[in-house]
Amino acid sequence: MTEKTKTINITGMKIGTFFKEKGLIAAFILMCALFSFLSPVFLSVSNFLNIALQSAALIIMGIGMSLTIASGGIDLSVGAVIALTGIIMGLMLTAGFNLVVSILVGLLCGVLVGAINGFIISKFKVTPFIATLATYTMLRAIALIISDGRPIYGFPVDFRFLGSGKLFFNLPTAFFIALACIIIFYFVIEHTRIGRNALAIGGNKEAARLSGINLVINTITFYALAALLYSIAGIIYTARLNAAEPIAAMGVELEVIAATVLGGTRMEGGYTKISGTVTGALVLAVLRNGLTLLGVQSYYQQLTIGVVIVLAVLANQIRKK
Amino acid sequence: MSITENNSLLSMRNIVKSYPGVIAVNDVDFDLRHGEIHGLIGANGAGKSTLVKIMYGVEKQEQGEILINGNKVDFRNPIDAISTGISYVPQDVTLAPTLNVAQNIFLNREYVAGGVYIKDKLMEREAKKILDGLSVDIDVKARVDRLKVSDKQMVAIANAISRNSPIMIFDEPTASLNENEIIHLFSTIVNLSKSGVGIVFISHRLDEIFQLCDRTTIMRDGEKKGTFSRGEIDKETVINLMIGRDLETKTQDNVVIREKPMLTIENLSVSNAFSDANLTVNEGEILGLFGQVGSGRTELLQMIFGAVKADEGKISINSNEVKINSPIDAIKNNIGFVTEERKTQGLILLLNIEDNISLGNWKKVEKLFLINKTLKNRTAQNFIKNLQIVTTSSKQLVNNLSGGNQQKVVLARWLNHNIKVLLLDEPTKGIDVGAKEQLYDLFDELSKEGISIILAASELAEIKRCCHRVAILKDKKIQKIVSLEKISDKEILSLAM
Repeated sequence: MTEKTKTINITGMKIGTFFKEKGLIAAFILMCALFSFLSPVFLSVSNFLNIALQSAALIIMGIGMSLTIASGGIDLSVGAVIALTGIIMGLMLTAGFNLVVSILVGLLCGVLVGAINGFIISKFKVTPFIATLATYTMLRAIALIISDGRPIYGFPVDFRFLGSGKLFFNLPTAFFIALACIIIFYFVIEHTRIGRNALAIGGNKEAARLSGINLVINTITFYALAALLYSIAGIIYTARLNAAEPIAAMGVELEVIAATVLGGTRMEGGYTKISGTVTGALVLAVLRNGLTLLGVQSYYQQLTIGVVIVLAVLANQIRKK
Repeated sequence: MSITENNSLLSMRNIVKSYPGVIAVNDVDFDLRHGEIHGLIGANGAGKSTLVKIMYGVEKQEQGEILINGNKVDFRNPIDAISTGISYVPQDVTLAPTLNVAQNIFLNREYVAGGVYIKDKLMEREAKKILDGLSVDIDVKARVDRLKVSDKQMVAIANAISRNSPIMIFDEPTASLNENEIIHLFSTIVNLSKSGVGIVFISHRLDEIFQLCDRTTIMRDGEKKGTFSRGEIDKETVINLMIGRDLETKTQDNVVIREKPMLTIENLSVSNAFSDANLTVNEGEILGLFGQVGSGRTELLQMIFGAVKADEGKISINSNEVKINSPIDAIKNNIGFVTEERKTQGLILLLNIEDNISLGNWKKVEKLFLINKTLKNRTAQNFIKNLQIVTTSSKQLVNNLSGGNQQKVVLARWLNHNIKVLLLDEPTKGIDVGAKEQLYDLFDELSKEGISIILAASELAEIKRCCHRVAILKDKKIQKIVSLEKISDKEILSLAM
């Protein structure tokens, strides 16, 4: 079932193998064609920039989720990490710390949360679903507590730039942040031992253990890296809204998992494709964008997205046979 | 690591390890010398696998100590064992299914550039060299979960051998290999020992042990019964020590097979899996399916059972055509299937004996829509008695049973379904001499009761011991079906190879 495509070598990566998921891409193109037919505004530069901006955060979160699912687990603390990171950065900026320090502290907190997730999962052998659900609950509470239940407004200009500003070629900064994450983590998962260990542990934990792979250190790494990515997404979220809310990104977990599954990552673990996750996130972003342009109400949008996900997963199952 | 001639490479003293309800290893001593091949034999449940798991840090002993080159070691996990230079090929092949052959061979030892970038292409080349050295031809880029069982075993062996460890442990490495692969594996093992590697070799095939091993340790019921040098002991004495009694040589009774056909298949095929199968099994008959690995034994059984739906052909039970499109249909028609991999296909390891036996047959033990514990228990007790399943309680987790007893639980489940046709795929794989005999006797009993049995096996001895007729398979086709009295071993083998 693998189709070979033209390969272009860029620093060792082959874009051909990068886009193996022909089926999803075909569907994606079809969807874009449909929307551009139905809406005059869809096929415009400003709309595409909009999509790039809207999908950036989802792509980054999807990559983190892909890593945890590939390792045989799952991470339900996504939204909570985003909210907490935003609040912490907001508090620090309001307290007068400079931009870089505030951001670093925010990211560090994310990494810490992820490490705790990984530790609970591997050392105490708590199933990932439960462990990250517990963390989620606690983090939401902590975010509410330290923010006193109130949003933080008024972020400095250079912070907002990370979310809504533009960099080269008039493309949003968020786009470049997402691109950097894609490139780095494609490399990490396909070509480093971190990614290799994740696939081994997710595929057969016992095989990994017998080969001398340290399950505890590796699991902590996976969840810490994932949480780092969620924190980065948190920066973009907060910057775009120009507000940090303790209830930010409520329910985002399901959309992130949807993007990951659409992209071909197997829930049992052992297999993931960054290119697939990226495409999955783009499909969801374009879907929302297109439906909004067509004036579809948000409840019906939700319904459509749900149907699309089911169809895509079914299609995947059929292709597997 | 410096190794002195006289000191032991590995020494285990007074090792004790127990699990709930059973003492798996009871005050056992074991030592391995520089350059020796040390065989470890015993019935299933004797404690061999547990002992080597302790050697590799997979399990931790409750009492006793381990010394490597005279130095006391404390293994908390395999990482510690690996760092002192031990490699292990477990009994059940344990590979990372979504990674390819090369990636599995070098798992956790990948070649990296700049400490970061994994060099997959280089690993593929090196993996090819290693496999060539074992005279095995496997595509190094193939995903491991798509390989046949014997190839998976070779990958696991290649992984261990390529580590160049001074101590190597092989637990039943030849279980899934063919003659050729075994010959090459043995010459590799002998070469390793000549270069000073100490090797622990577990096998239930006594001929292999006698051929390869410089010394052999025999275990029974968790205890060490003796260690003997090559030539110091003969097959009969070994079996006695293993089992604690003399093995009766069983000859086939002159069983009168009823003439009534029970199962008939005509032109049954699945594209690319098996072509044009035709056979009939009578009531109470045991039909053997003999063929090498890859001849289509499993595929044929899967077709009959509906695990794989046939593209063409028909199946008849008691001369009535039936539609078998799934295992549910097969079970409705009183067909049972004991699969090759009992751990992944036959049992729910985390459930106990009672649940595994009543699995899927809950109606029999239900009262007012609820599962009745007493009925469930009684059902299990019946089978434990009749099949002589060795266990302290019917509530014992099946995971803790030895291979032979696990297999009996699988059989019990099918017998509980009142089957008329029993399909067996390598039913005695990885099971010791004593338990094998018990299973053979059981098959005889079932056939006397009128149950038709199809027994797929790759050991001719097993076919000859159990079956009335044999269907010889090769290249996913039935070559010939003939009564075992009317064909010679040579003819059978030449048709199968």
